[in-house]
Amino acid sequence: MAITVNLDVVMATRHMPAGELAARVGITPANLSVLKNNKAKAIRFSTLEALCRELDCQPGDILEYEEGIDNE
Amino acid sequence: MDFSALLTSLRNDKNIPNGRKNILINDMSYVMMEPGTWELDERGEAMRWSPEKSVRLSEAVTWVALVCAIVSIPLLPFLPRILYLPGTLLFDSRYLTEAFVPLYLCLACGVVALVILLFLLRDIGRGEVFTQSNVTRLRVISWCGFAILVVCVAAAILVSARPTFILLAAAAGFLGLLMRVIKNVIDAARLLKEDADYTI
Repeated sequence: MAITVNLDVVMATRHMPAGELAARVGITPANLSVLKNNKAKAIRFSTLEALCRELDCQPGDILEYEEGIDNE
Repeated sequence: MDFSALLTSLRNDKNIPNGRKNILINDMSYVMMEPGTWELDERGEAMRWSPEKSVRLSEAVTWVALVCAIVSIPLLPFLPRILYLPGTLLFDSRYLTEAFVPLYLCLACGVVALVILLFLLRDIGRGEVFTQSNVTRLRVISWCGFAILVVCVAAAILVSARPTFILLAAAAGFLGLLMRVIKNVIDAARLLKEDADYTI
C-alpha cells in the first residue's frame, strides 16, 4: 500500500509511550504495534479520531501517501 | 429463580407430564422441554448441542471411516466372498481380481484424504478455521477425489467391472468438486478474516 503510517514519529515528538497511547485510545498494544509497523490494512475512523485526540494532531500527520511504495 | 433452577424444578415436578413441561418466557413465546434435549449437566446448566460437540462427532466418524479403510486393506482380496450377493453388479468375484490395482489406488487416496480431514477437524476444534493451511488441506482432499475419478475412469475403460467404477468415479468426482467449492469459500473467508484482523 502506498499509505504510510507515521505514528512512531508523531509519538516520538509528543513523548507518548506506546502502552499509554494504546490504553488511552482503547486498543491493544499488539494492534498499536501493527499500526506502527505499517501492517494494518485499514483503520477505523473512531481509532483515527482517538489517535488524533490523544496526540493532538491531524490525520495527515499520522497518514502519508507516497507514490510508488507498495508495502503488500 | 434463574433459568437452570426453573428447569430443575420443572424436570422434577412429577405432577406435570414430560410432554407438557413448557417454560413460559413471555406472553408470546415458550420453550418446549423435549425429553433428552434439555438435560442438566453437573453445573446445573442446560446442555445443548454445540459446535464443539459437532466437531467431536465428525472426528469420531472420520476415525471410524479411517479404521474401516485400513482394515479393508488386507480384507480386499476376500471382499468377493464377504460382499457377494447373487445378481449384484458390485464386487463380482470375476472382476475383482483384475480390479485390485485401481481399488488399492482408490483406497490409498481415500486414506490420505481421511488423514488430512482429521488434521482439518483438529484445527477447526481449536478455532483455527479460516487459515491458509486449511485451504491447502481442502485442496489436497479435492485432488484426492479427482485422483480417484481418474483412476476409476481408467479402470472403467481397462477393467471389466465397468458399472462399479463408473459409480465410484461419479461419487469421487462429485466429492472433489464439492471440496473444491468449499476450499474456494474458505479461501474467500480467510481473506475477509485477514482484512478484519488487520483493521485497527
